[in-house]
Amino acid sequence: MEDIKSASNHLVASYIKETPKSLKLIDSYMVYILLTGIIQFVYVTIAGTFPNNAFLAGFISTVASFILAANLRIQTNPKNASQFPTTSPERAFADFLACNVVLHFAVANFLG
Amino acid sequence: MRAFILLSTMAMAMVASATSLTGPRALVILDNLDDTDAYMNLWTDLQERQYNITLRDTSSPMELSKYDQRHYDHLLILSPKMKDYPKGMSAKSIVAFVADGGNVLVAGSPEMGSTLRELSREFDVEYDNRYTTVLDHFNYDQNLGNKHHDAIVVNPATYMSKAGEAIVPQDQLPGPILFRGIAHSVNPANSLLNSVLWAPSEAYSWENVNLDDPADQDPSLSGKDISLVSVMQARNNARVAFLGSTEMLTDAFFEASPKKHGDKETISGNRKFIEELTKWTFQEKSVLDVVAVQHHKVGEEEAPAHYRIKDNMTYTISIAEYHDGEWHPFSADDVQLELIMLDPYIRKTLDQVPLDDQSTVGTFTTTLQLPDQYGVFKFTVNYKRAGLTYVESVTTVGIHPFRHDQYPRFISQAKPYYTSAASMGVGLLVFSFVYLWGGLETSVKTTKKA
Repeated sequence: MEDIKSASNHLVASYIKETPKSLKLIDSYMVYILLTGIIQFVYVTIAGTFPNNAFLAGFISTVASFILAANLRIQTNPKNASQFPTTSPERAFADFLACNVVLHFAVANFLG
Repeated sequence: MRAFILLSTMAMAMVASATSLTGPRALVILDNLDDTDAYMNLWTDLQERQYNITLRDTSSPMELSKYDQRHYDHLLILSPKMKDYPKGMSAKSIVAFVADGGNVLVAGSPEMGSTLRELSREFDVEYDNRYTTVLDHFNYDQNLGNKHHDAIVVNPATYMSKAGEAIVPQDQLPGPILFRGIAHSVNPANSLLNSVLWAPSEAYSWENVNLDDPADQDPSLSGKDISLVSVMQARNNARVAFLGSTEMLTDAFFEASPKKHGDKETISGNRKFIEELTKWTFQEKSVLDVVAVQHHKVGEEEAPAHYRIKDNMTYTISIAEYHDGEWHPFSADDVQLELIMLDPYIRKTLDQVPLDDQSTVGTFTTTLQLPDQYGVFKFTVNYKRAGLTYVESVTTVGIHPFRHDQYPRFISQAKPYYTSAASMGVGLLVFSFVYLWGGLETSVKTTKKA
């Protein structure tokens, strides 16, 4: 128990100290998306799947946003730079935005 | 010239209105033209109803139709003894005559040969063996059947089919029916066939030679299994009647006074029975016609090009019945509408609009909600009743689904989803703003410094 506690303390401390601020921002964005998705999932179990298309649109928009954010995080992480020699962080962010535009068009189309 | 055409059309319309809907030409085949005098009342009755009667015996050649045109509208075969069909005629040609819309009345007798059996078998009617007669030791007529108990008195109230009211209404007969002839049986599985009159329960069918010999086996037919008169209406509404007796059509039987043992003398119902039977067979009554079919959405008047699922709509069908030379309103409480796309989705009994003095047709209507199913549907009235012309009316309509703008746009139940989708968009904007201009130490620089 003590080990776990010290390990987790160490984890939090090193996260705060060593993670770049941009990655922390992405992480908080992802937590926000995750919570939104969970709220919708709880709601659909209570209220039923009607209207199914709206549920799918709303839920899939959170899932897809989460995945895109995760991709952005992987591609902009300095520790992964060796794996993406041709992808600069600016390029990764531009891809992220372009994918999000496509995603939100699809979601808005499917929503109503 | 025009006036002449109009007059002649009117004259034709008047003639047509007074008689059978098929036409006035009737061919009668007798065993022998000497028999003509035996049926004087029958000829009188038929001529009063505007029939042109052609009498032939079995030896003269005759053709029922030529080049696909019928020469006659009705055929009365009163020649049970004939060994061969007249030249130019066959069982097949008579079936073809019926298929072409001609009506046929066939009367048998104990001397009936194989020619007419061959014909009756085509219609699922089986006459008993040659030289057999319907005998009844309880219901025989004291005058005509005293010796062999073969002229039997049939009480229409008991031995006439209730379903046959459209054929011969039993309450219009002045008395019982006299019958002397051969038994036949109808195939009960054949829904086109109906027995109109059957033998009393005590009757049986037995050989009429050596009647005094003791009987050593069961009769092949007895009681209500014996049909005396039966009718068939083919799918094309042509009508065929089978009788077991030529004698029941004769003046002697028309004018007889049937008297059962121990009963009073009565008036023979034969003349009225044969009149009603020939009226039915020759399409003078119980003929139905669909005059109009209307359908529209509730609150509208015109039939739309197509309906939408769950529309409320009204269906109306007008049916007229022909009898006594005129079209009358038809009355019934069992006309049903079916809404079919492969399977019936809705089956509903139509309500008859109450008749008044001005009514010329019977109008049946109902209001219903279309099913929640789109496709090509048929509004079908499939009304088939014993003795009445088959009514089959099919109207094809398209039922469309809702168009995209006919659904509700925003549903309150789905508001969390809308909010979520919007918040994902807003979240993206906020995130991008902070990421780009939030003064963050970008990872690029960090990487390069490191």
